[in-house]
Amino acid sequence: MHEMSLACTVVEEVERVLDECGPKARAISVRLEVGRLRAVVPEAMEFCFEAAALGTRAEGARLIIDQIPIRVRCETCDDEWTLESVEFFCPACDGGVSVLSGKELLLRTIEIEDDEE
Amino acid sequence: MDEDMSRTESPGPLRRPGAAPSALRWHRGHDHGVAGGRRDEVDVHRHLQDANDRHADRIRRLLAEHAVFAANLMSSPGSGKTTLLEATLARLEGEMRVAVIEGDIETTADADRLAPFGIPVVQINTGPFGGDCHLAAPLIASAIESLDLHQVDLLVVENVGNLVCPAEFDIGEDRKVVLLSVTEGEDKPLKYPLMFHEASLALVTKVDLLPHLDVDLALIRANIHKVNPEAEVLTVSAKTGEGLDTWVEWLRHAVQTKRTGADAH
Repeated sequence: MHEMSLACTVVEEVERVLDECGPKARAISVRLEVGRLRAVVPEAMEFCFEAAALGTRAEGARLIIDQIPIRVRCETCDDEWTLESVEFFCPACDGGVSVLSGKELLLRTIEIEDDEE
Repeated sequence: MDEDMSRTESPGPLRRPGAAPSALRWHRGHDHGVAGGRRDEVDVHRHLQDANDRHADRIRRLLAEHAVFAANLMSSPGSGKTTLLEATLARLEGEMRVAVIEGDIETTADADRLAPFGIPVVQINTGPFGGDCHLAAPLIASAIESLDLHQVDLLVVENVGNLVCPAEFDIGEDRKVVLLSVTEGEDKPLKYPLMFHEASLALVTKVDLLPHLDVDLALIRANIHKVNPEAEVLTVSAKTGEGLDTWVEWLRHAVQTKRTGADAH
């Protein structure tokens, strides 16, 4: 459900950037980085983005979502690994881990087309 | 590296907007699109939580200035947030000054339930039909404006019932507290990991029902600790009062610590 409010934020940002780029600029694609801990469902996000973009300058742009894996580091033995299941402790020493990646929620790039000569 | 991450359709030069907007229209790296216009990839690199987090920081400063401890209560709908709150308020009456922000998609039912306590309660309705499923910091910021923080020791935010989205939003609270009722199943911490990962305290509620259920309390604890080895776990029943002393003591200690910290500054 949070995909809709996220999609609205993305559309606002895209419009802001397009405003800076010129009156005829339009978005071709929009690339997001989303950490797996964020529980964003890509299909739901794409659907919400399409709906939120209707009637805006982001309408019709393709949403590309790069999912970022959850990387953790053991605070005791310093090992790093990618979490495949949600077990936030070290399998070797049972120690606590710090999260290195997986919480990202980032508008990376916008591909823009500008007809103006 | 994740396979998804290596997908890039048009690498080309990346530009930041704002610095020289006009340069976006004309630069060497452009491609010609199907429609004949220039194509350009703009590097935006903008955190989508930025606006929310700015509000959250402002709230955090306000709470610090007034030495108010804020707890963000989160859970799925129906796990007993409001009932726990009623039992908690009954125990803290006359002892500390509590204010509550109630978040729901619709109705003032929860605020109405707390009316007998005569404390400041602000009801936020995020609105039906597409209303937000969580409380974001801007809403909390405006709710706080209607409270006199000089007259508050403890601020409890009862978030919208939902185990997913509320965990995403920093609202400037001191502690996130998640409730999980024993009827919801042992697997919930694993299915909604961010919520349990972010919470400092997990309250397992409705433990008076345990004799009637095939629920493994030890497994609930183990699953919470899988996603958050540092989480404190308390078992409570608002109905029988079991565990409430420990929970209320946790609140007292938190409020006292915040006050001491503020005095030291």
